[in-house]
Amino acid sequence: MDAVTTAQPTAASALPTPAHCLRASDGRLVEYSPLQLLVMQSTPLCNIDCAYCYLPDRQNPKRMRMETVDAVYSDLMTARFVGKQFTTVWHAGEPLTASIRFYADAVRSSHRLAERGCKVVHSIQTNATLVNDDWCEFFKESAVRIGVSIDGPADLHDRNRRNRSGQGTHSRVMQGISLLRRHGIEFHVICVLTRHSLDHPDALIAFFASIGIQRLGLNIEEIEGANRVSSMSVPDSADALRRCLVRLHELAAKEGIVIREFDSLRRYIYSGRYGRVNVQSLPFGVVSVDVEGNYSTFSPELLTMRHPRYSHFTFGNIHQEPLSSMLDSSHFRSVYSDIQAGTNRCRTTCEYFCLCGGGAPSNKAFENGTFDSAETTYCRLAKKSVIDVVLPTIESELEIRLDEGNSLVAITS
Amino acid sequence: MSTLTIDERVHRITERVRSRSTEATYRQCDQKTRYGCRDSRQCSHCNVLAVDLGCGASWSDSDGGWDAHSDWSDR
Repeated sequence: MDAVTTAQPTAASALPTPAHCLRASDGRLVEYSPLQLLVMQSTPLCNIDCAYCYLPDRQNPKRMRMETVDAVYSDLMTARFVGKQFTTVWHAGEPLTASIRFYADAVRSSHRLAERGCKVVHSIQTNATLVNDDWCEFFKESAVRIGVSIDGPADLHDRNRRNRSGQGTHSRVMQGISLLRRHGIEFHVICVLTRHSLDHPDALIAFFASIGIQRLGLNIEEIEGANRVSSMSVPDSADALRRCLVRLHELAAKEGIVIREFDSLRRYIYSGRYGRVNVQSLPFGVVSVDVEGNYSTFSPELLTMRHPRYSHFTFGNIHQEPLSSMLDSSHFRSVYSDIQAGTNRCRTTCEYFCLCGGGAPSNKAFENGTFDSAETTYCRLAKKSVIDVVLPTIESELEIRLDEGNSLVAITS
Repeated sequence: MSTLTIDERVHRITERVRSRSTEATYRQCDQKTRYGCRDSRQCSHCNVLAVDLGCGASWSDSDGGWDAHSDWSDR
């Protein structure tokens, strides 16, 4: 397949954003995103049973074979959609239920990408309950990045993050965090916000500050996959979330905690490159591979999911055909066509499009029943609310500086 | 309450940031190595200073768009 680079504006007043196209075997040009994220499901198994988890099949003990890992990285050696760097995240189950040796071999397998000038960064998102000294030694030796899932203090965390006996996991997570600290391993935290936790922003920040967290990501509970009901599906959620975000923004700044959602939006706006395409809405920006080698693209949550309209989102198997062959799959074409139609709906109906680029296809499919749709609850909560908090802050900062023009000259000249 | 659209507001921010001299800011930045410099002109300084002094253009594209890795990592 031929790679073609074009320039294509994506929003009315946005800068032209470089777009990339691949030519399918029938001659069609298909717009794609260079690979940014490779999601690998080392195992679907999870040793705990969080109330809001969207993943099905969490008691399945299957492990990914090293032949599957090798097949993926071998394919990426020649794939046109690979650039100079991407991240492999081990996810879609609890990664630490697989063996250290598996990840050591997998990291080694990925090193072949260096031959084509591509750096592969590995990342593990873990519930930290299985962290021990051996894992810590491995994390240090392999430079794998670590993210820990913890929802704040015990009373908030243990409401949802429990083991299969119904007991809270907070104390075990804290033991894992202590071990990471003892070994000097840096990590970020991801905290899921539920309707209940929105009323406790002070407790959240006080807790994370007390254990020295500097980088915090906020995931808002969604309706997706196996999670058919969300605590956020109540009328006052949007207002409560906005109040919570404003308070978190204020408190985190005081404590020196960087909150991913605020920080990344600020960076995006200040980069002056807003309006570029949404990687979840284009093929190959995110590639997901399940434990059997089945692969998907677009939103990573689509991997292993079933859907009444689309049936499934598997576009091939790495043991049978290369990733790029998905462009020739009729199922892929049908899904992509609907995703593009949905993105166009967003472009013409939503004023937040310039900062969002069309939302998350998975949320459209699971909330609205089709990719060919626009706003979702996820949009309102996770996108618009964050923008509504961050944008006035930036405007305020700039207006203050503009009002103090002489001071600015004094600083910069 | 602003009467401008989101697109117009972001465009206005971008224009104001661009109107500032990032190079001058960089030269004056006494902590410019704190977070590492990505090339000879760009200062990847702390968020607050980037905002205050208008050197937002220094943020690297390699950090990813705000949507790139933000929404899915764990549930």
